[in-house]
Amino acid sequence: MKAAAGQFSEAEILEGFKRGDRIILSWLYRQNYAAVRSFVLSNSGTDQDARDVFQEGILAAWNNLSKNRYESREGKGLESYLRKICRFRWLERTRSAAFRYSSAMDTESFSGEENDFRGDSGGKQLPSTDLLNDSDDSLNQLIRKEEIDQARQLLARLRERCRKILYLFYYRRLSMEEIASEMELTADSAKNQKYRCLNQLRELYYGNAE
Amino acid sequence: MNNQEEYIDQYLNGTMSEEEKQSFLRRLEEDAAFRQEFVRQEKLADMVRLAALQEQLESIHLEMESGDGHTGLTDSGAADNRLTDNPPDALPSGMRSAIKKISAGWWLAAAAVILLVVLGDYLLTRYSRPPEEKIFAAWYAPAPGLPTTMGAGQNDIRLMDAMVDYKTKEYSSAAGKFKALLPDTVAVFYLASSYMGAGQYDSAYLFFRRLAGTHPTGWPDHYTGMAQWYEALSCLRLKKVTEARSILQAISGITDHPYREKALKLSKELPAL
Repeated sequence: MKAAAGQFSEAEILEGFKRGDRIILSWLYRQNYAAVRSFVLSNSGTDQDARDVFQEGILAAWNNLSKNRYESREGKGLESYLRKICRFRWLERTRSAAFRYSSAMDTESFSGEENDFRGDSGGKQLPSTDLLNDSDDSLNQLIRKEEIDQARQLLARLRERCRKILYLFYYRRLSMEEIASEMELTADSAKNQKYRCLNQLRELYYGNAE
Repeated sequence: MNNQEEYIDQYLNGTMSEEEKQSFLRRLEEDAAFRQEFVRQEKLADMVRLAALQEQLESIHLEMESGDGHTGLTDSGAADNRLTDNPPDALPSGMRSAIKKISAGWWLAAAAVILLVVLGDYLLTRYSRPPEEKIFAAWYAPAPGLPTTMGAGQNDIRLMDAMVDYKTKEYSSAAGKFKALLPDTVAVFYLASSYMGAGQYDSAYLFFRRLAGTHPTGWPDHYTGMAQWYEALSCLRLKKVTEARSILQAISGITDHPYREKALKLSKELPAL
C-alpha cells in the first residue's frame, strides 16, 4: 500500500514505526489524528480524550507490531489498524460506568470498521455491536495512559545515565558496543551499568507493586 | 552480570537466530520459573520502550499544536454555542418591566461610565506592565499536573498528595510537600512549577535550572525538556532577557525538543525588548 501522499510504502511505514523513527511517527500522527479527534469529539469526548485515546492507540499498535500480534489478518494497512484500535478504545471507554449515562453516541459518524470514521457511508448501526466483539485479539492488548504515566514516573527516579542506557538498549536496540561508544564507556562497563540500572528499575517497580 | 538476563534480552531485542529462538520458546514453555522471570523482565523492557515512545508522541503533538497555531486542534465553536444557550428572556417578568421604565438615555450614560472605568483599568494594567511581564503573561501556562489516581509505595502517596495541592493551585502547600521529596526528578519539576504558580520566580528559576542542566543528548526526557522551557520563561519574568534568549536558542537547536517550535516563536518576540 502506498501512503496517501505517496511518500512511504506500507513496508517503510511498518519498519519505521517499529523502530520509532521520528519522521514516520510524525507522519502517522499528523495523518490520522484529525480523524480520531473528530470521531471522539462527535461521540461525547473532549480534546484531551482524543489525545489520550489516539496516543494509547499508537502505543498499542506499536506494541502489537513489535510482538508480532499485528500480521496478515490486517490486509488494510497500519493506518486502518491504528484507527480501528482507537475506535475500539473509545468504545470501551464510552461503555464504561462513567459514560453510561452521558449523551448518546453519534451513530452518524460511527460507521463500522471499514469506513475509517467517515459518516458518509450510511452505516447506522449502534457502535457497540460488532467492533467490541471483533475476533482480533490484538485489539484487547490495550495500553493505558495511567500505566505509561506510572512507567514515566518510575523512570524519572533513575539517574539520567541509567535512563539513557536503558533507553538506548531497549528502545533504540543498540548493541552494548554501540552504547559504549555513545556513552564513552567500555563495553564491559556499559554491560555492568545496564544490569545495575535494570535492577534499580526492577526494585522500583516490583518493590512498589508487591 | 547475569546470563539469564542477557539471554532474555537477546530474545526481547530480537537478536537471536531462528534456532536459538525456538530453543528459547521451548524453555519458556517447559520451565515455569524461567517463564516467570521472562514476564517480569519483559514488563520492564516494555515500560522503557512505551515511555520513550510516548515521550516522542507528546513531543510530536506539541510540535503539531504549536506548528501554525491553527491546526484545528482547538474547538472553540462548541464553547461559543454553550455561551449563547441562555435565552434572552430568562429574566423574571417583574424585572423586565422595571427595566423598560428606565429611559434609554440613562442606560447610555451608565454604559459609557462603565466602559470608561473598565477600559481605563485595562489600559492601566496593560500598559503599565514592563514588556517582559507582558510577554511572559502571554506565553506562560502552568504545567499540567500528573494524574492522582495511582496507588503504590510510600513515595507515590506523598507525591500524589503534593500533586493534589498543585492541581488545586494550593501552591505554597504543594511546594512544601514537593520539597520533602527531593531530589526526585518529578518533585524538582513540580516544586519549581509550584514556585512559578505562587509568583516566586527566583526560586522557580533556580529549580528549573537545576533540572534543565541535566538534560543529556539523545534521551528525550519529558521533565528536563519542560524544565528548559520554564527556565527560559522564568528568566524572562526576572528580566534576564539575554539568558532567556540563549536558553531558547539551545532549545531551538534540538530537533526533537518538544518546545522547539514555541522556543523559535518566542525568540522572535524577544529582540523587541
